[in-house]
Amino acid sequence: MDVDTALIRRLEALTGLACDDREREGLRGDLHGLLDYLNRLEDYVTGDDTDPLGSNPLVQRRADEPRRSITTVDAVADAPAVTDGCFVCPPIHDGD
Amino acid sequence: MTPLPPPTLLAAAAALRSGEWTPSRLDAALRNRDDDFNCFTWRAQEAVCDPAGDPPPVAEAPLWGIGGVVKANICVRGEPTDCGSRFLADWRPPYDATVVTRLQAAGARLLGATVMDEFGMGSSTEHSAVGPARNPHDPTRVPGGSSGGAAAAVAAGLAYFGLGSDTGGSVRQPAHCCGIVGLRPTYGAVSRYGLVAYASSLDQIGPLARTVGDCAAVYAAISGRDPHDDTTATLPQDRPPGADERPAADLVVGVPRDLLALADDDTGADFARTLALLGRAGVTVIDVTLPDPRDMLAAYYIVAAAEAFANLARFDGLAYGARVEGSVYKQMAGRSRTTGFGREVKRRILMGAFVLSEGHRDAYYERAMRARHLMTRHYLDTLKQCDVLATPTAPTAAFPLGERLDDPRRMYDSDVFTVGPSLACLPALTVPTGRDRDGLPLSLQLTGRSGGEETLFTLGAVVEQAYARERGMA
Repeated sequence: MDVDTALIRRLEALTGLACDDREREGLRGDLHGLLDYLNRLEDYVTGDDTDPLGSNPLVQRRADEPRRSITTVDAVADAPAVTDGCFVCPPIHDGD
Repeated sequence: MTPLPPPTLLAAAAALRSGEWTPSRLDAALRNRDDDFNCFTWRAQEAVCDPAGDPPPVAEAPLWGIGGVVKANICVRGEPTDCGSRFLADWRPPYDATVVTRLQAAGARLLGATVMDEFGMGSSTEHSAVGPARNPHDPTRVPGGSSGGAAAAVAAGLAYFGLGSDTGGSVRQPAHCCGIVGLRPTYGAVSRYGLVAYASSLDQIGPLARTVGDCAAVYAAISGRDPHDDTTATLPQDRPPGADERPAADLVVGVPRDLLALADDDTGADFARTLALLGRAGVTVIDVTLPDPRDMLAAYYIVAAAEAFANLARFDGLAYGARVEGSVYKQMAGRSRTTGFGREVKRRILMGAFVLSEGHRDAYYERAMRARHLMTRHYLDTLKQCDVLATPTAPTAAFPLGERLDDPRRMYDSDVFTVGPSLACLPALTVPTGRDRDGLPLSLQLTGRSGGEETLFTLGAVVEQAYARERGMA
């Protein structure tokens, strides 16, 4: 698998990370070597009889039910910016 | 001259109950020791007061007066929990992890939090914003990772036990490097509530201690069902202690001999010697097969990276963590993430995005999940032939600081024997054995059936006693 700079830039956009050119070049080399190694699974998984997203046989899933959690005071206690018990952040869209 | 504190947790617990030591003296003896190996991210300062009256009954407070540490990704209300990251350098959780609550209920004293690879991603603590910790056996070597600070603290006598988290080997590999005992419990045996997630289908909290008995005592205190973590709800954990205990002579140990080619010469020789000692103790040793550990390593790194990509998406500088301002949310989040995360975390997040991305998901993530199913079946089938599987914990002893920092593939190879039990959700125990030619600790990894921790402790104690006899200590 060839890892080029365009792919790294696309992954940066997907992950909300921004790298400088030097960092990008280092990561390109790292990912190239790692993906090359990960390709060895092509030979391991030959059958198609398993559900790739099925749960592990040792783990069961629970019902998804809401529960009480921490208080608002606790929730905002470590926030970088807070006003009237609410998180403060810049606008989502430029100019809105 | 102040006497040295008792050498083990169980000996200290007995000394406290007999009155030979008081909680305040024992606490001071641990806290007054210098942190020569950069183990701590914060350390308890307040002295303990001795309670009036008799100690509480053992059944109510089995760890009464015993000092331990937790890895810095286990939440302690109001105390720094940095996860080894610049991003969370000043973060103080608003609640305690269930394991912390249980330790305190058992009477344990929390002595601090310990250095770790950022968000659990590493095998040396070198990927830490405040690391690395150093190996007490040789400070030029790594203590292992990612729970390396906790392992070093226990090995250096700064605490009687540590809690680490083990995703692909992060309790067992540091236990190996530091010459102590480490348990990865069965997935679901210990609550993950309050553990900052790295890869949720693999993460487990596990104890580090100086002996198998000490490790079992901490495991008993922290394990069991927790309404805050429903992955703890499905395992047969309500059996009384000792229910699975059988004499070692009744146990069958399976050895996948073809995997040993991945270990260095000293590790291979030590493993052969350990098997001989088990044989002398009456244990039956048979040959078995397991999946190729290099395939397991590949599946592990794909699954873990994909889950890390999802879990770490929450860190955007909005609700907590270090914020770098921007004119719009996306810019703020991007700047905060780029500044806050270290290189290894960025590498794994990018890899996780890649293996889940359109055009690559089938070839990587879904293939790895299929492989995980097949590998789990292989483990479960093999464990029908034997009670426990035995391998070395790692292919080499602790490596020099800096040796693998710029070579992620070599760093990942440290986990080649430990990722299998993680993928299969099985318990695994690391027990110290002999030394390599440089005098560094080596160890045995025992993998059990789901919920089979008691059997691991039984067999681990046999190994421990056999080596103690060899050293003339028993």
